[in-house]
Amino acid sequence: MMAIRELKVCLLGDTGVGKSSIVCRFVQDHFDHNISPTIGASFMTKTVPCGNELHKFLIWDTAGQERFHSLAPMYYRGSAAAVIVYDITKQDSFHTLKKWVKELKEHGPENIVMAIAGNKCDLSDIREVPMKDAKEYAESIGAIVVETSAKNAVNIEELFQGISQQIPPLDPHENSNNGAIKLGRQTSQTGRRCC
Amino acid sequence: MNLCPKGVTEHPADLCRNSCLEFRVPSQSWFSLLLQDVLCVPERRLLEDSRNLPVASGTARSERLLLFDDVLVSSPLSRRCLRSVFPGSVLTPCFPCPQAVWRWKLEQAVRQALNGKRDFPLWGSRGEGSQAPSRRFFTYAFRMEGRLRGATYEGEWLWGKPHGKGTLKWRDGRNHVGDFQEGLEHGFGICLVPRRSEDRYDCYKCHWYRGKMRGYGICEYGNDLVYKGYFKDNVRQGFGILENFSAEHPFKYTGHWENDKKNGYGVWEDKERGERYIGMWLDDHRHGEGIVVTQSGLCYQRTFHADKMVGSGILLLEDDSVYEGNFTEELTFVGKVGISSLFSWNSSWIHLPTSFLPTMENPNPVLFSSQLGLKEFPVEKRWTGIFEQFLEFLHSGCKEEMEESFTGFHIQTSKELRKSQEYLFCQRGSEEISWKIEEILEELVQHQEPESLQSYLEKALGSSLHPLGKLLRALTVAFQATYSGIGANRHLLAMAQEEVKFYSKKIWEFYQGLLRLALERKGRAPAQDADPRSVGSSLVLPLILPGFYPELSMLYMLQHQREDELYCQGIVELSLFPDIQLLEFLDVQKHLWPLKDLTLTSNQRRSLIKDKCFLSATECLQKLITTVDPREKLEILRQTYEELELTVSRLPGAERRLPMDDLLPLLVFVVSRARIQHLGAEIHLIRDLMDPTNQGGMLDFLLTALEVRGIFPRNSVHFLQCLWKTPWKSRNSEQGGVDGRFQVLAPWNSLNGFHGIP
Ligand SMILES: Nc1nc2c(ncn2[C@@H]2O[C@H](COP(=O)(O)OP(=O)(O)OP(=O)(O)O)[C@@H](O)[C@H]2O)c(=O)[nH]1
Ligand SMILES: [Mg+2]
Repeated sequence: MMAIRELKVCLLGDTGVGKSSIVCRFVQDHFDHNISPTIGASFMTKTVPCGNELHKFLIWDTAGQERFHSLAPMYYRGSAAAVIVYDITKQDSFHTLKKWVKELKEHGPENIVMAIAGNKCDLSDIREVPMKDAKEYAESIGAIVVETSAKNAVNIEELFQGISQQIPPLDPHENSNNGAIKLGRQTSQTGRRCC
Repeated sequence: MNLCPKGVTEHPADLCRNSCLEFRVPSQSWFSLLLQDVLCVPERRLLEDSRNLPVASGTARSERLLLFDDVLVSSPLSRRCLRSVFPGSVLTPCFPCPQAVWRWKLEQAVRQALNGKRDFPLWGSRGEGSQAPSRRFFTYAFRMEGRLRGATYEGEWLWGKPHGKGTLKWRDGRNHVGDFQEGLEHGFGICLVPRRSEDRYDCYKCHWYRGKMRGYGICEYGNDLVYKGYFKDNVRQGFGILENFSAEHPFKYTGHWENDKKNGYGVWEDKERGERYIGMWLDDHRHGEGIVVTQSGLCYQRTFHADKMVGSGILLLEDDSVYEGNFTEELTFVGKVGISSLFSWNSSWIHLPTSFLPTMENPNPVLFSSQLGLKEFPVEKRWTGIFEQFLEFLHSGCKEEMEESFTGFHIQTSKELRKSQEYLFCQRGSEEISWKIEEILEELVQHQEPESLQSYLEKALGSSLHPLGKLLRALTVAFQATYSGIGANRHLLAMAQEEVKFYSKKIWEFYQGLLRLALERKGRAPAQDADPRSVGSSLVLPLILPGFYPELSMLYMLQHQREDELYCQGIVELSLFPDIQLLEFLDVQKHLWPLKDLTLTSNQRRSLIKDKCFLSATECLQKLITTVDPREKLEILRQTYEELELTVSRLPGAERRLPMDDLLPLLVFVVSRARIQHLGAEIHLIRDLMDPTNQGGMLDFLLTALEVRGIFPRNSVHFLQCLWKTPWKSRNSEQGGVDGRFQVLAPWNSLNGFHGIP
């Protein structure tokens, strides 16, 4: 049996960039044009194989509307990875993304894996954010970056696979020395006793 | 005149010879007298006379030895002879000179006298029952030089030494009742020691080891002090509790001892002053870092030097104001004082170590920020004296006879405590409290599978006989000494919380040690524990939590008091809303309104209906306060969610499952209606103590949703509107000077901004 690892992943980004759509595509392989804005946050899971492990993604999809902004820390705490989404047709959303990165760097969990998703790449004819900008920015902060389309199911799987690969493998020696009480003294004592 | 078997001989060497059968006559004339009068009674039988059968070849006639069935009489001159005849221990067959027949007859006489029955042994018969027992009961006064000089011992002997149960009375009035081994107090004993000046006794009920107190004991001193704890070499050493029950200056010290003095980490409660000192000790003085909490709720942290406070300290008042500087114990300030509020985080002296950043381990920075003692008293150094004894017990191979000396007396309830103290000795050894380590180890081996392990641990931890249960009890005592009563101070929450988690870790370690020993005894290789330690301790944590819950939940309530008060205010205001208005207000999507079955016009509904929607979910959530176990609390949360889902699924046209997106407003609704008073405290307690494997999962998500809602109905509708309806930026700008990080991380910090707004 393969070991299952649970990974908490949170999605952050401006409202309407397609966070919930990405999750919906990833988990249910489904796209809904009339999806309603998220209130508070949403939760879903999906398990995918990664090498000789299974990764169970615990996906915390947050609400992008500003009024829910202050709740975000509760949702991203303890995350192993964050997917920060922008809409390639909206320069503003890329700006918001940078703010999220900054907040995560300052207050997010240490060693959080960051993945940038430029969503709605099916609409590249009305693109406002050049691919190059995103690439450069991602490089500067050490994040992975990919352009996605929830609508056409482009790069969605790849996005999460990329995250899986960034997650450091479990250290096999981590648990070997778990404070076991040694009984060495006991045995030596009984040995002495019989003489 | 029956001289036997209780006749007191005058010389310990005599005793060694035969212990109960000999009587020596002081002078020759006495001897003749005795022979004529005293000894010549009809019941007495003469077994042998040295005139008929010489004891040894060449003994003088005057050295006469008469063996009766109950007494051995020797003439004064025969002393030398006898001594050579019976050297060392009782009738050992190694004496060189006396005749074998004499030796045999004497032995038989002793045996018969001890057995209290006359039989007719055949000469030369050996084996079972034909020899005098080496063990006997006897009273003897020691007159020789040595440790026991002047003392009288009544009890069991073995080979001429007190051995077994007995009573030793000293000339100075000391009285020891208990177990002896090879002439020394060894095992359990009760010792009364008269106090020098008063007509009172110190009473030690303790374990002895080769003549000295060692291990667990209770001492009731004549001056109304009681010590319960560990001894070594006759002095208090290791963990122990000293309590003064007298009316004048009552106190209680719970902590570590060294050479009879308070030393190391300990908690001192001065019941008169209503003060508790938690910190370090040296030679009976407060010395090192220490925290003082008082009845009035204020507390301070200082460095002590031989009982005197030195340097500057931090004083935390009830109203969250903080003073830094030098102040006396009466809290008058000396010199310059800095004043700041806990809510302004730029005060330079509040150190926030980087580990307090919001990571998984420390999810709540605000909780830690005003917390004392974390750095000064690392949790693994706090109650070492308790853990040491239990580990030592394990290392010494869990010997049954040593169990009590390491793990303390078995006491079922505190009510029984006094009783058992009084009757400790009589109760001992009675079958019902006997403890079979073999059985326990056997059970350990049988209950390794997860389900049975859990129920086994539950039983073991609940038992006052099982070493695991005893360990838990000892820890509970230490915990209560620190955090109950005066110690219910919210600045100690982090210490307490960390301590309980640490206990679960140590108990799990102890369990694993026992299991390994059990397997080793069976010759089986210890199981490769595949699961990391965290799994085990998270199994133990919910099992031990009930014991610490009263103090812990009190601390949580105090810590989140302000938050919860504001939240309650908000609830009160929301409770005025009829259901529809509230549903509307909270943005609950119309198709989720469960109003169809209410047979009222929409107008009536609007104005009248309250507490009807989602009633099942509301009632379910209210059960949150009825349980202690964080697992059960989470389960209740899950059930609440299911109730919501069930209600929604019954609505016409709503076949699909309740999407998580719609959850939040519904939960806010349910929480508003459930009116749980200390929701903030509850949430934080669950989060801090829940199984870490839940982190990030569905239950964590629900908990977070609850937490979010915990902050919603805060300071009323006004706040709600702010959060719900107005953009974040404008709220943020209201916060102005407050450090952005804390504003974000701890939304209730924003209550500063909203506090007081009508
Ligand atoms: N063309 C196109 N439209 C998309 C794509 N992804 C999402 N959308 C649309 O964008 C709109 C918003 O999508 P959501 O998934 O609700 O966006 P969100 O980020 O979850 O928004 P919040 O929940 O408010 O934070 C919807 O109308 C979607 O149909 C995409 O890849 N291509
Ligand atoms: Mg969404």
